[in-house]
Order: sequence, then C-alpha cells, then structure tokens
Amino acid sequence: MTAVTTAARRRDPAVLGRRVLAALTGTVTVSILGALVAVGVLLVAIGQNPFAVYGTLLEGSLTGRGLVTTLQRSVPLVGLSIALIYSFRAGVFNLGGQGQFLVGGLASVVTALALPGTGVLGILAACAAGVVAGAAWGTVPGVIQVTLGPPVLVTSLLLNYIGIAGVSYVISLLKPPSASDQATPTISEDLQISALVPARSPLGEAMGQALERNDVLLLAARGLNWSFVVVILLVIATILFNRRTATGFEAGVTGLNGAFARNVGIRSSRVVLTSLAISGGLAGLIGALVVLGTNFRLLDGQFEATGYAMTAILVVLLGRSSPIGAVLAGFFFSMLQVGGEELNRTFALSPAIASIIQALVIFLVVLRLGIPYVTQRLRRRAEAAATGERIEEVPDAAPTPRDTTTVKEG
Amino acid sequence: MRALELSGITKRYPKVVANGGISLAVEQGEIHALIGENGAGKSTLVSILYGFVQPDEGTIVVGGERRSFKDPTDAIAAGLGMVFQNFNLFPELTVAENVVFGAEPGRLGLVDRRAAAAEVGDLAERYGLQVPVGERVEHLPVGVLQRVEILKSLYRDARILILDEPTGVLTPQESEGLFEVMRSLRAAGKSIIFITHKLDEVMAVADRVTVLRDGRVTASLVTAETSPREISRHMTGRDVELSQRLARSAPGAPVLEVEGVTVEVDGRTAVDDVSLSVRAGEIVGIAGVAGNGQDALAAAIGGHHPLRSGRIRIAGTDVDGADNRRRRDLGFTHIPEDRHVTGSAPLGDAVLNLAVGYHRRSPLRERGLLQPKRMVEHAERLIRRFGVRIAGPAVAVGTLSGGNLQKIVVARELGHDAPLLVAEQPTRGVDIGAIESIHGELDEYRARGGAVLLVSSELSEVLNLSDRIAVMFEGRVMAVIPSAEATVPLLGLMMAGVPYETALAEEAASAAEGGTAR
Ligand SMILES: Nc1ncnc2c1ncn2[C@@H]1O[C@H](COP(=O)(O)OP(=O)(O)OP(=O)(O)O)[C@@H](O)[C@H]1O
Ligand SMILES: [Mg+2]
Repeated sequence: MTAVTTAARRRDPAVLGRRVLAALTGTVTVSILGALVAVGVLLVAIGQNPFAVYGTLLEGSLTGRGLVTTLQRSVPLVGLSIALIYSFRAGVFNLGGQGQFLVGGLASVVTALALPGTGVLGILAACAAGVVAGAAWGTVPGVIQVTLGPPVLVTSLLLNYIGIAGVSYVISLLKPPSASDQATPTISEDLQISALVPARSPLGEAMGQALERNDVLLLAARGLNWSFVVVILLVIATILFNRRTATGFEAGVTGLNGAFARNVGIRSSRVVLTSLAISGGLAGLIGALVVLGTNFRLLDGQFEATGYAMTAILVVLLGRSSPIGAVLAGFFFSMLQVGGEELNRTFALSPAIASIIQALVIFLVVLRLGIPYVTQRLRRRAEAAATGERIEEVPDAAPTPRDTTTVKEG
Repeated sequence: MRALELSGITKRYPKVVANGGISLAVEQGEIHALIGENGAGKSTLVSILYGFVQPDEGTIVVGGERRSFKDPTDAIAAGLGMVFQNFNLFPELTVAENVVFGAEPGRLGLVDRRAAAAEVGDLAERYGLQVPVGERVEHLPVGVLQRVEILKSLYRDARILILDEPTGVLTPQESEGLFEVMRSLRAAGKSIIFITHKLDEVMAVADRVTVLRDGRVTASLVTAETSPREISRHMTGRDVELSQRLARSAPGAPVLEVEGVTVEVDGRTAVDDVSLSVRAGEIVGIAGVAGNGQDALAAAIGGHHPLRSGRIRIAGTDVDGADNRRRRDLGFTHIPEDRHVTGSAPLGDAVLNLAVGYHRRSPLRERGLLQPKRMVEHAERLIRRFGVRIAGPAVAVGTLSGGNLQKIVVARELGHDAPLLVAEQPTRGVDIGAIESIHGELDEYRARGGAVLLVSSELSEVLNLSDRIAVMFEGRVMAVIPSAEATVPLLGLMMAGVPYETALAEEAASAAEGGTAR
C-alpha cells in the first residue's frame, strides 16, 4: 500500500518498462475495464447502446464546460486525498478527514466573518485559521494514541461525529435570525477566492474578446478559482516532502515497519503526531478553500453531502498512497460524477450510473486485492489445521512486520 | 530404498534463477545435508518440496510416486514435514496440545486431552525426544520448542523431515541434543533433509551432502569420503582463507559503561544487577544460553527498556531517560537479533534500508534536502563492501535470502563507524565466507578504535573475536574474564550457572585427568 519509490527505481529503464506493463495489467486498470463491461451489460439490458452512453460520459466530462467542472470537482477531492496521504503513508490510519475538513471550513468562515474586508491578506488569514483548526482537530487522536493507547483508526473516526455535531451547533449560533437556511451568513465578496482570470479584470476582458465563448481556455480561466493552483502546488510539495525531506523519509520507513523505525532512531510518536497534524492541517485548508472559493458560507450538512472526505479515503487506497495516484484516481472519480450528470441530461439516465461504476471499480479492486489474500488465508488455515500451526491474523490494511506473506524466511 | 527424488527443479525470479535444474535423491533412513552460500537456493528448493513455492520446471517423486504439491497440505499428506526457524506454537497451550492441534484425537468434535497427552508422550519416547508433555510452551527454551515442532511433524506421520537451518538458534549443547534426535529418527527409518552453514555439523551428522552454488548442484558427496575443505571448495569454487586477526592495541577510554543495571520484563527480573564496560578498541563478548537476559540488556542499552535501577553511560554521557535517537547521536549503533522484525523494512528496497540513520546528515542530506542519487550510491557502496547478493539497490530486501538480509543489517550498522556497536548474533544464518568477512569487518572496526558488545550464542564466535568475555546466567553476569583464560568447558560450566571459582576448580580437575579441550 505504501509507495516506496527511490531514484534507483526510477532511473532504471527496465524497471520503468515493467512498471508501465504492471500498470496496464494491474489491479486498477483491470478493475476499471471490468466495471465498464459490467455496466455495459446492464445498459444493453435496459435497451441502451453502451458505446453511445460511454461516449457521452466521456464527452460530457472531458470536453468544454464539462472538463472545467471535472477539474473543479477534483480540487477538493484530490486535496483531501493528499491530506490523507500524509498519515496513511506513515502507517497512521486517519479516518477523521471528514471532521478535519469541516472544522477547517468552519474556522475559516468564522475568521472571514469576523475580519474586516482586507483582500488577499484576509483570505490568507482565513486559510490559516482553517489550517490551524484542522491540525489541532486532527492531532487529537494522535495524542490519545501516544499517551493512552486507543488507536487513531478508531478515535479519528469517532471524532468525526463530534465534529459534525459541534459544527452544526456553531452554525446555529451564527445563523442570522431572519435566514431560512441553517447556514452562516455569506462572507464579504472581498474575501472570496477569485477565478483564475475574473471576467471583469482587464486580462479577462481581453481574453473574452480574443477567444470564442466556448473556448476551454476561457471557460477554465473563468470557471476555475485559485484553489486549483493551490492544490497543484500541494501535490508537488507532497512529492518533494516524501522524496526529499528527512521527515517524509522517516514517515515512509515508519509506515513500512514501525518496530524497525524505532530501532534505528526514528521517534515514532513524533511521526504519528506530525503526520496527523499535517493531514489535519491540509484537510482544514481544503475546507477553507471550499468555503472561500465555492460556497461562500457554511450550510449545515453541505460538506458531508458532497462525500468528498469519504471518497478521498478510497482515492488514497486506489492510488496506493502516492500523490500522483491520488491525482489520477481523484480526477477519474470526478470525471465519472460529472459524466453521470451529463447522461442524466442526454439520455434521461439516472446519474446513479456514475456511482454504480465508481462503486464497482472499488469493489473489483478490493476483490482483486482481496482474492489472493483470502485464498492465502484459507490455505494457511487448511495448513494450520494440518500442521497445527498458529494462524497469525494480519489485517489487510496494516501489514505488520510479522506479515510473512510478502517476506521470505531465510 | 529411495525416499525422495527431485529432478530438474527450476525456479526463476525476476533477475535471479533461484534453482537452475536441481536434482537430488534422498534414501530412506538417510540424513542428507544441503549446504551452500547465502542465496544458493537452499530455502527455495525445500519450499518447493514442501509446496510453498511452485517450481517452473522439474519433478518430485516421493516413495516411488510422482507428485506435485499445490500447497503444504498436499506435501504433508505425502509424508513430508518441515521445521522452520521461527516456531509457530501457541504459548498458552501445553506441549501435547500444540502437537495435536488441528489433528486432535477424540470423538464428536471433542478433544480427548488425556489420549492426546498419552499419544504424544509415547511418540516422544519412541524417538528419544525429551519434552515436558504437560507443560505450557510459554517459557520453554528454543531447543525444546524445536523438538515440539519435530513432534508435530512426526505426529502427522512425516517420513521425510526438512530442517531449514535448525541449529542457527541453538546453543552447542542443544545442537548436540538435536543431532541425537536426528540419529534416532534415522534409526527408525526416517529421512532428513538438513540445511546448515556449518561444515562441522555436516561432518558430524549427515550421511550425504549436496552442495549448491548459484542455484545449481556442484557436488553430491558421501560425508565419510570427503573433507570440510573439499565441501567448501565446491561451495565457493575456491579455498576459503581464514583471515588473520589484526594486531590489538591497548584499549582506550570506556565507551559503554553499565553499572548495577536491573531490568524487568513482564514482571520478571530479566537483567539482575549487571555491571560491565567496553572500552574503545575492545570487543567484549557475552556468552550465555539464549534467554538469560542478553536481549533485555541489549534493549536497555538501546533505550527500549526503562531501568529498574543502575545507570548506563555511552561515550561518557549518562543516558538515563534518553531515547534511541539520542543514544544513536551519542555514537550507539546496533545489530538487532531479528533481522525481519527490528532489523529491516522487508517491503522497502535496499536504498531505503541502508539509508536509514544516515539520512539526517551530509552527504545524504544537504541543505535540508535528501539526495536520492547519493542514497543510491551509498547503498551500492555498502552492498559491494559487504558482498550482498542482490540484483540491484532497488530490490525489496524481503525477497533476499536470509543470509543476505543479515548482511544488509550488518552493513548499515557497521557502515556508520560509530564509537559503539552492540552486535546481537551478527552472523546468524550467514555462510562461512560471509562469517569470515563480517568477522574481518568487526576486527577492523576494533582496530580503528570501535567498542563492540558482542552477544552471540556461538561460543566459537565469542572466543574468536572477544578480548574479554562476560558469562550471563539468569540475568546475572557470572564473571568477566580475559578471553585468553577462557576455554569452552569453563564457559560451558558458567553458562549452566556454576560460579567462577567452582568452575575454575572443576575445569582444572578434569584437565588434570585428561587432555584439555580448547
Ligand atoms: N520471493 C522471491 N522473490 C525474488 N527473489 C527471490 C525470492 N525468493 C528467493 N529469491 C532469490 O532466490 C535466491 C535463492 O534464495 P534462497 O532463499 O533459496 O537462498 P538460500 O540458499 O536459502 O540462502 P541463505 O543461506 O541465505 O538462507 C536468492 O537470490 C533470493 O534473492
Ligand atoms: Mg535460506
């Protein structure tokens, strides 16, 4: 699950070739094809031409306005996945993305409402508030694990519910009495993250004159906001962090084998706390970006409804904790959603089609990863029955050092 | 009668041919040794035989019948049994329960405990395997655990027993006991395949020996008609030269000082008021039967166990409360006992496994950034210097043969050239050539002024390398003696708990009777 890439591996052309081949025949590619075939059969059964449907799905999500929408949706999804990578890669199973995302969003909206309109500085302050709140919230399960013992896996998940309820309550306090929605007031326009090239700016006007109305470039410049750039920078920073910093290296070693890490002078509790702080901080930042760039207020239940935080866990698993993997998987899932909506418009098909494909891909990936695991377990069990060996239960998600399934004895 | 015949067994992995057409015949009632350098393909061959690994080519004939094993269950059904180095026993069950587990006698799904104990007792007696049938295995010594494992196979009617490096974890006495068991099994008509790196063991117990090199058979010899020298020539293709130890200079200042240290592990006193010191340019060996507190002492020095009382100083600094990282900063390095669990990240590649610990300093880190290219070069350098057999630095170390993984661990820790090295079983599982080279490295390290605390269950290793020897028994240090005064019988007595003076007197008495053994 954890990607261990080193310069040596990247340098070697034979290794590169094998990796390309492995990617083409790998679990993910095969699962995606499998899902498409399965849904294709379904479509034929209800009297649709699967090729036409898939064609529309692609066209609707990868061209023109659709492409811009796909990219825009990828922003929070990829961003949250990147956030989670910091903990998953260190072997810390942080399931608290939801709460961290939400708390970050709330902190930024509160800050933005409290601040006088001060443009970019104000936006930065609101983002910083999101980071700090998310980091603080995210670190709590780590502190609990390090001092008391209960694992992050459990506490981080439970903390989500506390977060959701708490944020709901704060929203009810902030809600203007006259408003009908359960939502905070809208933040001042001055503090909203602007489009890459706002239509009313001189450059925007020049572009508007030079380009056709439906030119993707124009659509992207106006339709995407600066969060897009922030997430791209985050991806690059994460790659650098993992490959080029001592902290990132130590996190990777800890994720591979915690007992080994402790034995070679890596402070494992510090790794747990740092990775959770970064994870939470970045999730909080994404919360801030969504509030400041897209929603402009916090509507009760809106963040949960998007499902971004939970989907992000799947994206990280599908992308094997690698930043590039998260970009690809995150983009793919967004593409399915946007394409699904297009199907609804063109064929009057339910947008649930997209969700079905998405669910099937995940299902098949898990199945493909799971089948060898299960057969192996069964084999071990049969053998244990035969030889009286003890079966060591190894949870799939957390390979322990004792996991001899991938390790040979000498 | 022929018990087993393997022919043309081939197994290829990416970049390595682990077995390249191996043929091997084992007679009934024969002890057949399998020997070869690290990575020669011994474990792969027996894994194929036991159904763990599927061969690419080749046939297996057991008792005259051609077989192919999908998994170990098939192999067991065909009368094979295997004892691994890592035991798989339930600590909370008794010996008898462990032996019958999964094949319990009884009716209607109820286990007949009494029948089980009786059956196991009979079985043990028949083959001269002494085990406390009714005792829980929790605190039994490894030698006994191994006998329990052998009983498990015998209980399932194994006719061919595979032992992969069984003596690696045993004391010399325990090994001798194992050989007795092997001989009585042979007398009962069982066949045994026995993997080892030790030529004297081959000579002592095996009828035939098959030598592997680079996945091929280079010789199959009758032990009575050959010599260790001939075997080792077939293993390496050359004569192994024993390197000369470097001249010893006077040791310098103390680098490790342990004073009155007591450590408790799980409520039991594991280390009991131990005091010793290791000076720069000195190797102090700890002799003792495994489980007499050596591992707890090493863990305490590494900062993994709090001290009940006493103090430890590394390079003159009291390390009370300091964690492993801080101790490493002071110059502590450590070859741990278990290369898989604490010595490496098996899923990580050699670059990662060799860079750990160097990654915070120049040249691997410059201006706050890791230098991937230098990390690769660093790995390549250590791989070359320690002769690790690996296809390239990007290979996951978990796929290496046992001995080669051990070399990775040794290379990483010795490569630091830090003032202090705690080496636990540094040559466990490595071949003779590699033992020589690791010993040579330790010797040079000492000559450069390094201080080594050497923990080894291999008495010859302790005697060969140490300047002074501390004997541990039940958590206490019985005595620290200069290695010039140490003999195998003297150490043996003290390792069994005989106090120094008594042991000295006894040894003198027996030396007066007959020739001394040194
Ligand atoms: N699962 C695997 N994947 C890749 N290579 C492997 C795998 N298993 C074994 N090898 C390679 O096959 C070769 C033979 O390994 P094997 O474990 O059989 O050696 P060995 O003779 O038992 O050595 P040792 O004495 O060190 O235990 C080695 O080069 C090893 O790296
Ligand atoms: Mg081996």
